[in-house]
Amino acid sequence: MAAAHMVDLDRPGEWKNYHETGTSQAKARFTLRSGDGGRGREELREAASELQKWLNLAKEQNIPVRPVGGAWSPSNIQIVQDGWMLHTRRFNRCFRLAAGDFERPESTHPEDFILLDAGVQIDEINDKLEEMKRSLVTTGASNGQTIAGACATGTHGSVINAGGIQQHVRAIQIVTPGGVHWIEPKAGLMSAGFVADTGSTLMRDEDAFEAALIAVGSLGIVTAMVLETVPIYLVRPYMKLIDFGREDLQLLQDGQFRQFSEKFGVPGLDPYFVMVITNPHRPFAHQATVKFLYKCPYRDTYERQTPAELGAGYDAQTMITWILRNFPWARGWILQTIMRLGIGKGVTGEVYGTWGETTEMHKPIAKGFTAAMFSDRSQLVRTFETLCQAFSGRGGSTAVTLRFLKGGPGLLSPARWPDTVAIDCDGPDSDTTEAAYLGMLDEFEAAQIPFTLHWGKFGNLTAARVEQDFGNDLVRWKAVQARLLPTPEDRRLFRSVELDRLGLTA
Amino acid sequence: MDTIGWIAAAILVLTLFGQYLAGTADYFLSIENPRPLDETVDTITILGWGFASQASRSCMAELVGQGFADVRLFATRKQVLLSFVTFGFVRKVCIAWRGNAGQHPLGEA
Repeated sequence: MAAAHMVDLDRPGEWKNYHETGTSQAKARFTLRSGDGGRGREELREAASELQKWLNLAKEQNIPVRPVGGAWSPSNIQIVQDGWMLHTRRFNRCFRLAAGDFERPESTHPEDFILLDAGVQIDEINDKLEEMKRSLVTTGASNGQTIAGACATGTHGSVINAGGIQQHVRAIQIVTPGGVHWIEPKAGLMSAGFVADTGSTLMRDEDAFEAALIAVGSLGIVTAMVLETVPIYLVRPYMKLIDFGREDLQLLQDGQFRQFSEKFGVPGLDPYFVMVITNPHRPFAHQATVKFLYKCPYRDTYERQTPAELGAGYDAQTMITWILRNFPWARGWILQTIMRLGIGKGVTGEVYGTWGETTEMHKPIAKGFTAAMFSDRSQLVRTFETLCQAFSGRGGSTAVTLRFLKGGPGLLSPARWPDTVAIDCDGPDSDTTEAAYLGMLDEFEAAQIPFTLHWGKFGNLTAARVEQDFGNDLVRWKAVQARLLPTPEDRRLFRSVELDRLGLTA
Repeated sequence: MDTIGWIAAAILVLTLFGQYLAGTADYFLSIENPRPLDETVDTITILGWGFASQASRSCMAELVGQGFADVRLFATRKQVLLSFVTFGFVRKVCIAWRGNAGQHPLGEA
């Protein structure tokens, strides 16, 4: 029976991330692999031990390292030059927990939790949870990210009463050159015996936990997580083209999602998820695509649908990248036509699926542009109108998607308002679109519209901007970083051009 | 006769143009729940209308025991033009594949 282990892929040199927005020239590429049996705690102990040796070897040779999950982030946050890359997608086992693994077995329901290797992809978590008759509350639109990578950047969906995906996390194992840390909130979750069995030192600390929820790849290497889940449910999707007016935007700003759904969705139901894809080129003169998900109790007897029949693949990026890149001058008409073609007849019939069945793995076939900003939902009308004017007016050629979520959790969560709107610009990459987006951000600054940017997407984040956005939360996050990586040599190990620019590792 | 000739020539040109565009199409095949590793792209050259071919036989350590998640087959515009210019004698295509990260049964912690 093979234990968890490291493999040198023996393929140094050029490596591109998933969306082909960045290239690493790696000195060496390694992969962390799961064992083929054994209990979860043994797997974690073996992996952490191997990884710690590897980190210390890199430290001795002064070589920076970078863990890479799904390599999904287009912001190049996973890129390292002249360093060692660590691929984690084959460190991907999931484990049930037992009552005895918890600090308070008498009051804990072990079936509510799942223990995961950090390289498990979201798709796999969805499958395993369905097997356990459980579900996640929210995820991003696509499901190819690893759980550690998705949490590290605060990946979000559009469930109106949920935060980012990291809201499921209850405990985190992080490996550094100096230790293997099991980080939990102060109240504690797992038993000291279980934590010791994973080869970790227990760290129950509110700040450490809040920092580790969104680690941005700069606190060490995340190797495992315990997630809390909810009983399995079904969602009924509803998606169609609508005539989108300013008064509808006002409804969304006011959080009147039920009223918005009564107008455009299934009457009589409270929406669980609301998303609107708009055309920034005269948005109220063009139609928009609206997608609702309505939550329903689970039953075994529902008729299974394909992801496409459930409206999966709604991230807009895949459907518009290629054509818009070639014909940016006709962006208004093209966006509208593609929306019509992409949505087809929409999803208006009564079909159901689990949460996992509504997400999909996409394959980019052209270099894409993807950016996301977060803002205060209570200023949505002003923010959206400024965005459309500034972005499309400068030639930006992407769709603009509105998603709604709650703020946090995590010190570095970019969703910083209790009611946050995430505004995504997804489409083809071009110099014009990039310049238009940067120009738009400048206009936001000038107009004093509050916003933050997604860690994993395009933007103009600088150390000063990060400091301004996160203030004291950044100070607390850095204090935790100094505890986990106490020496300059430790911190240097996780440096990269991108993270230095953000002021997280410099 | 001239008119028929022009029509035939136009059909031929349109056929070639259509073939040129179709030649760059992207064929994509995936297993269910692909869970892919990184993509690798290789170019395969077919010579002499298929009488001779050259294929890469690279060794992929990360794929051992796991198999493919998905495969793409496509040609770039340049590759299709090369095929046209050489009357199909040189035909290059790109094959892109991603390994499967592996699917383990739910274990006990």
